[in-house]
Amino acid sequence: MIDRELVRTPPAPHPWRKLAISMAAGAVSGGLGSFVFLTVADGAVGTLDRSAQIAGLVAVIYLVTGLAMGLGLILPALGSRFLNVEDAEELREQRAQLTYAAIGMIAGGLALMLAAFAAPGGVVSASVALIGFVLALAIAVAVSRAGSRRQDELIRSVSTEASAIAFYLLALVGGGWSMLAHLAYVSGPRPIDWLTMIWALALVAAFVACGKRGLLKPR
Amino acid sequence: MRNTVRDFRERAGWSQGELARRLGVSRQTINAVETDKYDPSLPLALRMAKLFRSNVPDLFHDDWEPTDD
Repeated sequence: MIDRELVRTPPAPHPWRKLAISMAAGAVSGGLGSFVFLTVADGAVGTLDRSAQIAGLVAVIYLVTGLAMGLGLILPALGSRFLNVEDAEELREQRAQLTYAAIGMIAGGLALMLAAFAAPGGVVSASVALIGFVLALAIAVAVSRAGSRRQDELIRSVSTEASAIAFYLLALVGGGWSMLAHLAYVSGPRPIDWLTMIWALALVAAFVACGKRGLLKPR
Repeated sequence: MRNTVRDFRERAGWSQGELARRLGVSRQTINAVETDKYDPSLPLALRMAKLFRSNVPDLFHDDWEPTDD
């Protein structure tokens, strides 16, 4: 009989400490990215309205997340300190799938960022913004499809759940806002607000779906 | 659904990573199954049973009982 204590999987060292490091790193990089965006948005390229600024800030979240994943994949030992994995080896095991996910996040972030900076309110011409937006989305869709072939059943299940949750959140938030606007209680969502809602609520839905499966528990 | 996957895995002397590798899934999947956050598909449950030379009902337990109508 094998001693069960000897073969028990060792718990990740200081998971809550790692969570604190992750949150601090996220706060610093997110804050820095937001500061840079708002500085650029409010200075060098003129002034973006509030809707475009919020869209840009959501895009920053995508970009920072994608870049953090990319950094973790390039430097697994470092990545295992701030990404929610057991160790660097787990990052190597998931390299292909996470690479696709990181590229998808960055492409999605770039698409929304382009929309935020697009004319008529921004500095990017409508045609350039449209071409860039479509290209970035095409990349995001392509890597998403490629990545889905490497997903195991848990991640496929989480993706399906996240899609359903995102739809209901969008119906609730966007639909509720539209209804209130229809009744003339508030001004209605603008097209850029819809894009922001789609991007932001997809992210929220992913967190909810991951949380339900225990994937956010510090490891 | 409760399960005894962790007990079987530890008896076999495997880490979560090792079991994941043998089953062709991620460590996260094994962790989610062991913590009752995810019920695996029937094919994966059957693979687990084969790997542990056991049966699915020995690995996964459900409190449901048939009633006599």
